Amino acid sequence: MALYATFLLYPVARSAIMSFTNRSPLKPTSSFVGFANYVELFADERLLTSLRFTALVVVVVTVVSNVAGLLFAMLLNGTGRNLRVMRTLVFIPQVLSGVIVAFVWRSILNQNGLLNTVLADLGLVDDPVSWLGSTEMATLSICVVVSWTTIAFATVVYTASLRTIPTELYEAARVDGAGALGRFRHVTLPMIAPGVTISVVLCLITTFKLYDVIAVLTGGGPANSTKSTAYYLVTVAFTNNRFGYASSIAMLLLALTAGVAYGVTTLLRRREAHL
Amino acid sequence: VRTTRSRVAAAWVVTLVFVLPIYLALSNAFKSQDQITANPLTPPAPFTFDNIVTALSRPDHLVQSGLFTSVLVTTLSVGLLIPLASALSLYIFERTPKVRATLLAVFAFGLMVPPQVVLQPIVLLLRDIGLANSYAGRAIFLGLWVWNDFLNPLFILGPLRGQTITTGVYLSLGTYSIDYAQLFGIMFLAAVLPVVGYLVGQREFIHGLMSGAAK
Repeated sequence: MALYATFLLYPVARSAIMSFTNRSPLKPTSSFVGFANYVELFADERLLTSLRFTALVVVVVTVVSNVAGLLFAMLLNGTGRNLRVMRTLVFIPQVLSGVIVAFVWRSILNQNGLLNTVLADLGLVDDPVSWLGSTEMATLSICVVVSWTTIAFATVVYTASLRTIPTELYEAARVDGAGALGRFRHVTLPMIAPGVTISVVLCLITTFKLYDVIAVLTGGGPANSTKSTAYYLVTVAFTNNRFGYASSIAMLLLALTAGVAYGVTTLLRRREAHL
Repeated sequence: VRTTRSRVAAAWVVTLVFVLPIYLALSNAFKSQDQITANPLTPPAPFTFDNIVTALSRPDHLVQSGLFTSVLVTTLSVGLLIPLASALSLYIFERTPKVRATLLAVFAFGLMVPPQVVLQPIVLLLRDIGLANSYAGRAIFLGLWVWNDFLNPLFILGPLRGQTITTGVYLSLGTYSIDYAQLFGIMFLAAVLPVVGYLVGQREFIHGLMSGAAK
């Protein structure tokens, strides 16, 4: 508890205080500037761009990884050696660090990377595709890479959830004349509701904090279009040396993450109760 | 659930496509640069350990020192975390439902704090007590970031001193990305320990995760 307070609550509190100052590592002293940093937030075009980008990635990744994760888990659900081996394989992306994942994907997506080599060999493209070069392509690539790891996570959570469903429920539903779709809607979905909550909320939180994949894959480019808010925050703090202003961005990011996460949790929990 | 042969086949196809990037990283770690660029998809034949040897014989000992720091930090933090976390969860479990809900909410909040938010205050805190860029400073935070954590070691330890393997990968590969042989060699070494650890302990691991997630 003391550790938690020292290394989590204290830094958050200190960051909150710092957000009202003009603190910089280059200057020995700092002074309170009131709400100036927060006022600046509203006029910061780059922050707005980063927020828009982050929101887009968060929504896409959360939806994609949960839908794909559930389908994947249903496909791999069951007994037998084959399925067990597959479940083990599928979870590996989640074990790798974000940096490793990003480097593997960078070697695939590079201009002269593996994907372009394969596509050219198959004669599918004449010129190498710039997977990270344009705003749209880079955004798409980042969503794919992030989803790759979150799908792995969601699959494990849903596999676990599916295991908790008693088979008698499916048999009862079958006796009642429910088809495959009906069984999915009336047995599977309600029974895995707690798993949905966990998976969705953790996906949200992870993606809100997105940093390492961006640092390796695009460095925020092209033209700052793939800067996540977390990445922008680090740039402001350690490249522009503006700790005070960066702290106010940190507070905003934290408030947004916590707000969305608690909101979604409440919503999903209420839904759990209804089902 | 009944598993038909066609479903198993379909499952294999999807799974193999999904883990294709891992296969690429693994197989290309044992191929020469020419082999990689010519045939990225083929298995490593002829098989070469050159990339691994090159990675291990770098003059800056990036891989060895990085692995050492990572193992040290991971061991210590896990050693610290497990007793702490078990004690804490027992403590939480024994409270009344209302207190329990509050405590859980507080800790869930901890999960949400982006590392970037606590990074600056921690860098300042360490600087104030003179521990930035030191092993001691590092040791203090063991409970918080483990092997895969990237951002904190990068900024707290400063470049090239006591860096963990993940940071090392980032710092060294940032500069020469075209040399795939080198890249895959280093990445193989950086990733092999956690993945092997996972494969060995996966039964326990998935079990634990499942019982946790199923709540």
